Amino acid sequence: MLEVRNLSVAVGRFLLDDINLAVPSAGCHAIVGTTGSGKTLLLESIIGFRRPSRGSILLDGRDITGLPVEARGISYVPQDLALFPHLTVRENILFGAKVRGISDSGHAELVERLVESVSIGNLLNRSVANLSGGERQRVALVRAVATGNRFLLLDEPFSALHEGLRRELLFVLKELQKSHGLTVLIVTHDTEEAFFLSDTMSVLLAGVVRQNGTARQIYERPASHAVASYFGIRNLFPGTVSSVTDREIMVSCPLLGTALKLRNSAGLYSSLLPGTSCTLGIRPENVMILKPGMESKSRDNILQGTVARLFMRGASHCIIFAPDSNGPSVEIDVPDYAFRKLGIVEEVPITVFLKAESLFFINESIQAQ
Amino acid sequence: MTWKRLSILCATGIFVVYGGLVASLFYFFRGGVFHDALLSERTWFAIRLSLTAATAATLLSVLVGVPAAYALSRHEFPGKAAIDTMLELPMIVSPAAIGAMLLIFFNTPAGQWLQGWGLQFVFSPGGVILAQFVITAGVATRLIKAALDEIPRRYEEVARTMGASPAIAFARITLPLCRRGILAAAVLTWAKAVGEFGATITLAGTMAYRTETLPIAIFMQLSTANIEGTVSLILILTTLGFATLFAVRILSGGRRDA
Repeated sequence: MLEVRNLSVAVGRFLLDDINLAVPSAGCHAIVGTTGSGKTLLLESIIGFRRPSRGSILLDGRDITGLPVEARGISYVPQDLALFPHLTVRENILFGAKVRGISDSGHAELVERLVESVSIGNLLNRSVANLSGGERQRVALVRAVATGNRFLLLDEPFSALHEGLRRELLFVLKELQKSHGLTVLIVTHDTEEAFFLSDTMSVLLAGVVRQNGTARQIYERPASHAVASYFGIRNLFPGTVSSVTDREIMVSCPLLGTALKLRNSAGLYSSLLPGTSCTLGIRPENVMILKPGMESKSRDNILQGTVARLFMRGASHCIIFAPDSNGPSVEIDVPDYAFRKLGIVEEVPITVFLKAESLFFINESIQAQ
Repeated sequence: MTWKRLSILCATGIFVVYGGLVASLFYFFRGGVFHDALLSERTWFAIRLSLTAATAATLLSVLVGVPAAYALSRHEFPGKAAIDTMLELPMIVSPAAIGAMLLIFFNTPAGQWLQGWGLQFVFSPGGVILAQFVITAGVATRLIKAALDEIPRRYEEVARTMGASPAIAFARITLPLCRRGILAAAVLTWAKAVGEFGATITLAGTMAYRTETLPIAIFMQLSTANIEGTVSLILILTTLGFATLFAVRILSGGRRDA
C-alpha cells in the first residue's frame, strides 16, 4: 500500500497543503485536477524529486520520506516518457537491471513476458528515436515495470496521443497492472481516463485534496461545488432542506419551482436539520427524458419545460432544457440512439425526470467521502 | 535596402575584414623565411610548448568545468549567481590583468606558501599552463553548462527511479548525451589556450626554450622588427587555429543525440 500522510510541499508561492491519500496494494489510484493544481508536484514529492516541508510517505508501512529516489522502489513514467535517446529499446528496458546488477533468469523471464504482452519484440534493437508515439508509450511502460518495482507512478502518460491510440494504451496499462499486481498512482486531467483506470481517486484543486474516495463515489457524489464544477457538472440547484428521514431527504428548490427528493444513502445525511441551505446536483447523463405519453412511476422530481438548444457531441447529444418555472436550465446528455428514438427537436415541450438515486447533495459543511 | 541584404552585407563585411588581414600577411610572405622558421628548433619548441600547455590547460579546465557546469546547470545553492558571474572575469578583465593578478597572488603570503611547497609558476613553464587554465576555465565551464542545459534533467530523474545513483545517472545518461557539446567546448577551450598571450607573458615571461609559446614568439619577432619572421609564425598559428575550428565544425555538424 502507498500512503501519503499530511504531506505539505511548498514551491515558491504555491503550496501543496496537507495531502492525505492511500493507494491499496495492486490497486490503481488516480489524481485528477485542473492544470496547475499541483498534481505533478505531488507525484514528484512521492518519487523523491521534491522535499516535503511536512508529512510522510509510506510504502507497505515503511516510511520512505527521507530516502533518496533510487532507494524508494518506485517506478515512474513522466509525461514526456524520457526514453534515453542514445540507447536502443532493449538497452532502455534493461537499464534498471544493469545499474542494479541484476542478471538472474527470473528477471530475464519478467522482461520477456513484458515485451511479449505489449508486442514490442520486433522493436528491441531499434533506436528509440525511430519509434512511433504508441511504440514509445509501450516501451516506457515496459521499462518502468521491468525495474521490478511494484509501485508505478504515471504523470499524464497518454495526454499527447490521439483518441484511438490512447484508448488502446489504456487497456494495455490496465492489463499490465492486473497481470503484474502493480500498485499504480496516475495523474491525469482526463476524467474519462481516470474513471477507466482507477479504483480510487483524489480530486486535487489549487493544492488541496477536495475529495478522496472510490471512483464510483466520486462519480456519483461530488462533495463540493468545486469538485462538481471540475467534472463539468452544471446542473447545480440551490435549495433548502425541508425534511429528512432515514431513507430520503426532501429539498425545496424555488428556482425549479418544485421540491426534489433524493436518497439518504446509508443515512449519511440523517443529522441534517430542516432549513439547512444546500445544493442539489445531477450529472447530465443521469437526467431522464420521458417519452410523450409515458408516465413516471414516481410523481416526484418531474420537471416540465421545453428544449431550448441542441448540440451534437458525437456519441451523444447535449440538450439544454428550459424548465417552465423559468429557473436555471438543465443540461441533459442523451446517447445518440436514444436521441434518434425520441425525435427531439428544438422548442418542443418535454418532460424530464431527475431520479432520486441520481441526485447528489452538496453541503459544504459536510465533506461526503 | 532590405533587411536580408543588409544582414548578408554585414556578414560579408566581417569576412572581408578578417580575410583581408590574413591576406595582407602574404604581402610580406617569403618562402625561404617560412621554410627556415618551420625548420627552426626554437619555433618547434614554441609549437610544442603551445600544444602541450594548451592541452594540459584544456584538460584541467574540462575536468573542473564538467562538475562545476553540472552544479550550475542542475542545482540551486547559495552563491550560485556570484559564481555564475565570476565565470566572466577573464572576459571582463584583460588577459594581461589576469596575468598581473596571478603575479600579485604569488607575492602574497598564500602564494609564497604554495611556492614553498615546490609549486613554481612565476617565469616557469608551469606558469604558462596556469595562465592558460585561469583564462580558459570560465569559458570552458560556460560552454559545458550550455551543453548540459540542453539535456533535460528528466532523463536523470527517470534513471534514478530505476536504481541509478546521481553519479551513475550522470555518467550513463547525461554525459553520453552531451559528449559532443563537451568535446566542442574542449576544442574551443584548447583554441583559446593556444592563442593566449597576455596572461602568459605577464606570469611566465618570454624566455626562449623555456616559456616562449607561439604567440609570445610572434611578439618577440615583431619587437625586433622581423616582419617576415612574424608573418611565418602568424601563418603557423593561423593554420593551427583553423584546423581546430574545422574540428569544431565537424563535431557540431554531426548528428545530435539529444
